[in-house]
Amino acid sequence: MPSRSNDAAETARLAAGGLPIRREGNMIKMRKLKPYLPLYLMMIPCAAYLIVNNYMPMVGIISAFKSFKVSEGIFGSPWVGLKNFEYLFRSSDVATIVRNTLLYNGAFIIVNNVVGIVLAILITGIKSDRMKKWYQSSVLLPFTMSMVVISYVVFAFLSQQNGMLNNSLFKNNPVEWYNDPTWWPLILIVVNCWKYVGYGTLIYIAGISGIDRSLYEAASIDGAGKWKQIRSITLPALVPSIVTLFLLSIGRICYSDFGLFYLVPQNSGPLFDVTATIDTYVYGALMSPGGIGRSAATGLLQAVVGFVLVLLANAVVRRLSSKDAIF
Amino acid sequence: MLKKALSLSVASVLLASSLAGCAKNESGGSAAGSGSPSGASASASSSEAPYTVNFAYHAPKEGNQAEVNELINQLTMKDLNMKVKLIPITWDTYNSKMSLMLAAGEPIDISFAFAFSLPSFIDQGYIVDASKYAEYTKDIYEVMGDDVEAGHIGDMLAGFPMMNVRATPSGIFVRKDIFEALGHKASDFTVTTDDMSSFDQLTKLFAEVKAKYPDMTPFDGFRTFGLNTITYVDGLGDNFGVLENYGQTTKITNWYESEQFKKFAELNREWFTKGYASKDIAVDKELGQAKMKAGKTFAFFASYGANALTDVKSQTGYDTVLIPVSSKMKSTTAVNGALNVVLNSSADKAKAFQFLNWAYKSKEFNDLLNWGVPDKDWVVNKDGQADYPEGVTAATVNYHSDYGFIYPNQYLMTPWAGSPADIWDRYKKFDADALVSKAYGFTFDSSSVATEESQLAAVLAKYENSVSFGSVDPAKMLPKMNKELYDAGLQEVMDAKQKQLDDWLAKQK
Repeated sequence: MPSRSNDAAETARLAAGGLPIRREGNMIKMRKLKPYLPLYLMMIPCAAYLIVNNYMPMVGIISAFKSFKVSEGIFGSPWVGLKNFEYLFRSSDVATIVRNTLLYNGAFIIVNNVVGIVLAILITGIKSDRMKKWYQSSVLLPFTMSMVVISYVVFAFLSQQNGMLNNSLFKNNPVEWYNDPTWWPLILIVVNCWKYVGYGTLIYIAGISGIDRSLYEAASIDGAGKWKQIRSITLPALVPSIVTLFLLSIGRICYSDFGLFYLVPQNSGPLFDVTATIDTYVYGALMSPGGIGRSAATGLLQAVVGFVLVLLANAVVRRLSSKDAIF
Repeated sequence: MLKKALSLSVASVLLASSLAGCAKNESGGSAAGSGSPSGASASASSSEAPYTVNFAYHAPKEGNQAEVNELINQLTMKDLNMKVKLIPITWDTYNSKMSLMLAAGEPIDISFAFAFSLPSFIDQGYIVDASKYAEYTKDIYEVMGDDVEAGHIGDMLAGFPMMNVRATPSGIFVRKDIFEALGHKASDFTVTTDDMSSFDQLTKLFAEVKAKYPDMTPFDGFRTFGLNTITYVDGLGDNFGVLENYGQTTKITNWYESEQFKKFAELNREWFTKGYASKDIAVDKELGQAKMKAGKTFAFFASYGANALTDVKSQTGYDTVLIPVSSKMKSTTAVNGALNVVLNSSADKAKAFQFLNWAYKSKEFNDLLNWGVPDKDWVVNKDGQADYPEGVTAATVNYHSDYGFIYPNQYLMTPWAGSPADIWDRYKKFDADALVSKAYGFTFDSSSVATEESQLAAVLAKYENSVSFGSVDPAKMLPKMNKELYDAGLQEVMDAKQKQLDDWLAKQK
């Protein structure tokens, strides 16, 4: 709105015989920017936050190549080249932790998105507005809980002494949950889905709400059933949201939710084969000499691989359907 | 126009609030610990602005030390013109919290640090060499005597040991009521490592408890034989290569391959499979004292001092019987198991050492840390000992630590009610007949094998708890564990250790 009135004012001024202002190029640029000034102002706090919190610490990346000593500071500490990276690859566990991180994240992306879409479709299909709100909130509730709390909820189920499962369903042949790795891939996927699915569901609900209702009316007049409507209208309309969420999660595929993998299995040693991820391993390394440099090295590696994967995934998406790519 | 004005004002409010956030953060550092205006006013007139010492200490639980902090401030303002900010850390959060606080560069002046984390802290340059500030710590040298030497690691004085009992034998604490109802006397039990089959007496006892009191868990708590290396072997700072048999040898061996460790693992395995130990024992990180306090636990394993029964009574609320399960050993680790260290993040290291020096000779300070606020959390009874005030119990008290050995000088503290009158003399005697490890005074400098140590720690994290508590079968897992330890470079660490020890021994002669 303000932009149009500004332009009008300028035109009026020129028409009234006012001198055209010199350095017109700059001026035009300024004029173009001016309407957005409030937006830029509003952006300052967030930008400042990003710069302070996300960009300035990037200087610390160099500690990945240093033997960090607090007394000498990041810049004063001696260079050690790639030695910090060596440690990660010399470890016999490296294959396990990389496999766990990637596979779990892959499973999380698929399960959370599929369940999220199904829930979103079901929730938007509810007639009563109040019930719709209720379901929506209850799906989102676990998202707001801390992993520490969740780890105790899980412990209440799985405790081998007093746990709910071993005292009801598995009463006759109790499972040593915290010793037996068999079940943990399933447990972790279920817990992760339970906690995080609400977030994606919310985005998909928003996506579905944005679809033009007349499409559904037209489809049902043409004799399309619910299933057909979902397949031919809802899902295609959701593709942009799916792609965005997918790309966001691909970027973090080398990271793992520390709380989920460390706290929920109670850091139990016999489960490490299926619960150790890059992050829990680095956390252990942080405790031992040289930890800072090694964690920085691993963090850098995770970020670089994540960055490359995002670029690749986006390139693939762009090739398949250019309008759905993020950039 | 209105819209424009509105958007501009919103933007400026946002901007202002973000700036306010910055300002607040900046002042946060200096405002820390200023929650005590009354204490500050006492000597605010002195010329120098009081320095605030950030003191990380072992707290009974977080969030209830404000009053204690206040009283400490009054003391330090009077004696030192300093203030103190207590930073609470608990046993179970030490591992996670300590390294993260250090990595984040939080401005801690002084902290207690366990021996096992010292090599890492030193390597990363967190710790100040205390020998460079000896002029400020004369009283500590006087209090500690030769034991100060145990604070040397490599060529630096990493910190000062706590003044407390040195020998840390271990025992099983059992509920007295049940123990006596079953018709037992403490003198019936002689459990000793000289005869490993003597440990079966405990198994029999637990079997009786299990049969008579099916509701009770006979054995629980997050400590057991195999984990408590400090009792049975001299680990020389870490557990990778130890001096077995209470340090009465000079040959470094692998504890996890020893006959003793295997026996312990098998014993715990038996308790676990027969249901004498809690099924969650290897994952539930609560200590036996807390478990017993909850009322369903018959026995737990713990190290003890001369005053153990009184301590356990005040920690659990139950009368207990102690069955000793080890000899007494005095090793470097037992002396420097926990050190008070001054950290490089300190803004004024001289002041920090001055404060620490004071902490080793102030009775009030040590009493406050351990027993809390006088007349509220404890009173001095007619015997001159500390006791709960009327109406206050172990369950309702606001602040009660009773871990005297983790504070600078336990021998200054007011003993808890029921302790013998000459308790601290007994403590000193308690040390006198302990077996002294052949490597007493030696600490391994692990910087040359740092990579191996971190790999070894990862292996240990995987196996140690489950094997020691018997939640997995030692016959299967123990060989696997040892294989992985050797793969991770155990032999290199042991060789380095042996070499340093031999050099040290040669110098002693």
